[in-house]
Amino acid sequence: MADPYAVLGVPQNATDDQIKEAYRALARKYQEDTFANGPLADVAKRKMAELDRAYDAIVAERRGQTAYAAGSSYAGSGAGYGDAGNAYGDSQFADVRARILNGRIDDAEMILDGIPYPSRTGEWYFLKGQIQQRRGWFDEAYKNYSEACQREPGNTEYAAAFNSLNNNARGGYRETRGGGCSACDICSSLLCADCCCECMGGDLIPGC
Amino acid sequence: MFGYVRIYKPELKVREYEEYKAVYCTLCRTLGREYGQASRLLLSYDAAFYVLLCGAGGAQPAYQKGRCRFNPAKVCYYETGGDALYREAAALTVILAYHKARDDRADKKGARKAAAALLCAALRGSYKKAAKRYPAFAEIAGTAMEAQAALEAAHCASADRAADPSARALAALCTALLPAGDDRRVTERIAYCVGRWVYLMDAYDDLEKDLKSGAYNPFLLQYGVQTPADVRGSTVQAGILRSLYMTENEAAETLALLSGPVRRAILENILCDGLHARTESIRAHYQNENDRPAPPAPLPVKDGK
Repeated sequence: MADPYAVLGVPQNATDDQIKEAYRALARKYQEDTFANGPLADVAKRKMAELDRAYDAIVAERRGQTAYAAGSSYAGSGAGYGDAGNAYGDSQFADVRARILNGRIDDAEMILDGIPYPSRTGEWYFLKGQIQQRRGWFDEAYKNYSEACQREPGNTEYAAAFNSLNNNARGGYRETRGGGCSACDICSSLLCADCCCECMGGDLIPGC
Repeated sequence: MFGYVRIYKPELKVREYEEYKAVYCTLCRTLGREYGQASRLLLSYDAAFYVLLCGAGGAQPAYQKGRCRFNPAKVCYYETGGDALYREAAALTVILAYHKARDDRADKKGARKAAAALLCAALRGSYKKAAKRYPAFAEIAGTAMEAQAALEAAHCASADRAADPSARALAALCTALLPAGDDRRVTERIAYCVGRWVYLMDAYDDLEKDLKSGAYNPFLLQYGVQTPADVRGSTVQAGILRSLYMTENEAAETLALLSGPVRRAILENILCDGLHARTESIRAHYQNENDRPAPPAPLPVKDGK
C-alpha cells in the first residue's frame, strides 16, 4: 500500500499542523459535489477514502497507538463506499439513471431521445444534461440544466447540478477556488458585522 | 494542435521552469535522433504537454547537463531515462504535423497551399516511420481528421459537437499506451478537456478572420454571427467564454484526482494557470477593441468660409 505521507504529499517530518492543512486542502479538492455529475465520481470517492485512511494512519501512528508499518491496518480496501444510487425510487426515468450510473451513456441517451417532446419534463432535461456533462459537452449540459431548473424551480437535485457547473463557468481556477475570501465575502462579512453592531446600538458602516 | 497549452511563467518556480525547459530540450534531441535534424523544427508545446501528462505516473526523472546542437553556447539539461515516453511524443509530433500539413494542403489557397504541399511531401517519410512504430497514434489521428472534416462539411452549428473529434482524439492519444486503471480514466478526462479547450480556443481566436473569409467556425454558426460588430457583442463573448471557462476549470479540477507525482507542479501550472492566461489574453484582445474610443466624427464642413 502507498505511504500515507505520500498520499498527503507531505514529508515524514511534517508537523501536525502541516499534515492537517494538507489533509484539508486535498479533501477540498476531492469534494464529492465537484465530481458528482462527471464520469469520475467513483475515482473521487476512492481518493477521498484513501486520503481519510492515510490521515487516520498518521494520526494513530503519532499518538503511538499503532506504529505505521507497510501493510498494516492502513492497507484497507476502500470497501464500504457503496453507491447511493437507489435513492431515485419515484423517478420516471429510473432505467436512464441506472444506465448513466453504469457509464452506459449512449444507451441512456438513446432511451431519452425516444421520448416525444410533450412528455419531456424537467427531469428529462436534467438527465440529458448529465449525459452531456459526462461526455464533456459543457455548453449543451449548461443549457439543459438551466431548462430543468426553469421547469422545476424547487428541485434541489437540478439546482445543485446547475450550480456546480455554473461555478466553473466563472473563469480562473485559482481565483474562484484558491483563496478563502473573495471580495464578495468581505462585503457580506462587513454587512453582517454592521447589522450586529446596529443591533447593539452601534454602527460600523454609517448610513447602512 | 496550436501551441496554446503552455506554462504560465510568472507562477512557476525557477527550478520548475528549468525542468520544463529540460523536457523541451530532451524532446527536441529525441526528434533529431529519431526523425532527422530537420524534424526538430516541428517541436511544439503540445508534445511537451504529452510528456508531462503521460509521464506523471512514471519514475522520478533525473537530468544531465549537455549542449544544444543548434546553439552550442547554451548549456541545456537533458533527461536521462524516460526514453520511451520521449519517443512516443516525437512520433506524435511528426504524425500531428503531417496531418496538419495535409489538412492545409486541402484547405488553403495560393502560396500557403504550395508550402503545405511541400511540407507534406517532406514529412511523408517520417510519418510512415512514426506510423509504423505507433500504429495506434496514426489511426486515432486519421479517424479524428475524417470526423472533423465530416462535421465541417455538414456545417455543424454546435461547438460542443464540433470540438468532440479533436477532444476525443487527444484523450485517445494520451491514453493509448497507458495501463488500465483510475489514472488512465483521469488522464482521459483531462486530455478530453484540454483537446476541447484547444479546439474552442482556436475557433475563438479566429472569429474575425473566419467571418471575413467565410471559413467554417462553429461559434459563428452557433450564435448566428453576421457582422464584425456581432463578434464583440456581449452575448456571443459571454457564451464563448462560459464554454472555455467550464472546460479549463474541469481540466484543472480533474488533475487533483491524478495520482502520479512526477513534475506535478508544472502540470498544475499549465492546467490551473496556463490555460486561463491564454483565454484571458484573447478575451483582452476583443475587449480592447471594444474599449477603443470611436473615431472622432468628421468636423462639419462649413461652406462659404
